[in-house]
Amino acid sequence: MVLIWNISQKNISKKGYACTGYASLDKTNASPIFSMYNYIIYRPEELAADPSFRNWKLKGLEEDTHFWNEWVSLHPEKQSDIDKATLLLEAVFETFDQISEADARYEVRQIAAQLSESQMTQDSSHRLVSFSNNLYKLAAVVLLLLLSAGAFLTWKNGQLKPTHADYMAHTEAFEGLLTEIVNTTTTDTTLLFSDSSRVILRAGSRISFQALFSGTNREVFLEGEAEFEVQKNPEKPFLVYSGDLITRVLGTRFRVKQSADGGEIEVEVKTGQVSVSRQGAGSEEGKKYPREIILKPNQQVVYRIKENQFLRGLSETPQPLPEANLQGLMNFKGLPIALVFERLQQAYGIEILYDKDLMKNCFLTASFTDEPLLEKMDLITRTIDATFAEVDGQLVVNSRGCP
Amino acid sequence: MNKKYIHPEKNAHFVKLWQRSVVGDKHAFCQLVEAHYQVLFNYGATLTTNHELLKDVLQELFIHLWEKRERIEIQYFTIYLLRALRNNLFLSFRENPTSSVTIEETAHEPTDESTIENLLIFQEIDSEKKQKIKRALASLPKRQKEIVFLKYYEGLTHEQIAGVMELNRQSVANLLHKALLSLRSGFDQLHYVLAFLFYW
Repeated sequence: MVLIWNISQKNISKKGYACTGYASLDKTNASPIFSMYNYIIYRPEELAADPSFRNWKLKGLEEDTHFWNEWVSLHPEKQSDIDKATLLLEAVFETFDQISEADARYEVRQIAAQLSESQMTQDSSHRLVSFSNNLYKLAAVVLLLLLSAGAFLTWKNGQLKPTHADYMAHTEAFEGLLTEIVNTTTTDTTLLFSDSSRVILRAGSRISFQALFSGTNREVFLEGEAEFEVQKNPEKPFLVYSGDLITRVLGTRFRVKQSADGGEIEVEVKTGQVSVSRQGAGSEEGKKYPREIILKPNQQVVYRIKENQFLRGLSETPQPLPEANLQGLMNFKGLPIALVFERLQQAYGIEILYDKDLMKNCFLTASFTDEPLLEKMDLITRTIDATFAEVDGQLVVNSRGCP
Repeated sequence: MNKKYIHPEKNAHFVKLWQRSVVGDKHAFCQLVEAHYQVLFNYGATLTTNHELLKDVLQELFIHLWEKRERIEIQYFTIYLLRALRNNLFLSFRENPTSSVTIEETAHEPTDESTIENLLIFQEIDSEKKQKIKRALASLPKRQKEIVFLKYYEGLTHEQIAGVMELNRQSVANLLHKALLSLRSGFDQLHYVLAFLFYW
């Protein structure tokens, strides 16, 4: 509970200080970040202080209104908490509103009239400031900012690689139904989806999705790099679109990364299982594409766009599975090699291929601490005078047998 | 509702206006004054019931800001103003002890703008429950009232409140907690059977 609260606080200050300067006008990215949080556990006084909730109740911003209406319909039991928060806000504003707009305007005019002319102001005909005039000025400023924001975006488009076009093509089809999160900071940002799946969005990456996953699939569109931890839901597969690659999951942890030049996409599985395919693989054109590939834990695939090729391999540093019995990997006392490999396979979910018959006389006595898998394999195979290699995401042991 | 509280996203806009003010753009400065006047007045009203004094302090604050603009650097405009108003008000209390803070509730006087139509709407939505919260709010000690204002009217974070009130973050959390507790115990004493704040 505390954790989530802290995250939202952190993001508020990030947005307040670290944005590009266009943020005040950039509504698409302004509030949805708050809609990521688990509002179920919010108490009324926390709701009343929440920026998105306030945007809805106090400013009536469209995006937030839409989000909260949907949220309430999904959580009708929270209606009374929402009412309490609303009542608190109303009471606060009625209690603390001590000056009418007309009185305030009068005071502001008084102040304006007393401002000394600046030497730098060339036009002295504007001695008394009229506020309708100011409105035009404000409009001009807003327009200017919008124009420069537009220019900024176009410039960025020019710089970006073809994958950005893919991303835009994906997301534009949804015509504003998607929530987009852009990590403009220099560190990772963790987001919590409405189904409790998590994503760690790397610096400079962006992601779009329907806030409530209302479609038949849970679809997210990624540009850059992100690590996902997906909640199991067999009825709603979780799909990550990245470039023209689709990664399909039922519930697992995995990472998707586009290389900076857009020429490669990398998918790495930490737990569970995912399938990776090229978009349009089912079509006539799709027959040229490599076949769908199934990734197991500690495997990764690199998709080379130019060569239209899947390269499967092991993760750089395979990690033991969460359910692994690490104790069983520490000490081996004259253990048949088949059992050693069996334990490693189970701990890392990686297949080890070897000739059982040939190696039936190999036994291992060794103790390990927390060496990475590949280092362990190296030590083990050297002890028994064998070698090993990584082939297509598996480990293959070569041995001439033991005496 | 479209309330006057200042959205945190607005700061970038205000800083731009301030940069234009610094080089002498009076219109930019006036927009800043206009955007902040009501919020600052309402904040000041949690610190003093002397509204004439408050208006004077606000006028001085803005004129001072304009005259010294080239020497003042501001990062978070709204916070800066809230803090400056607070300091200036306390200074003026010291100079003029009779106009110091009183805690009595001042009635919200209807102004020219409160037409009959407005009044009718006002009464309709002003439920009994809300009246209870308003009474509890009005009887809060001064500092608690101030912190409730900064949190729920202005929507500031704990850190920002700490900056304005010159407290550390933990004190802010404690004081706010106390204020929310007082709201609840206020209801307890009044024996409202369904006082909803019980369950907060």
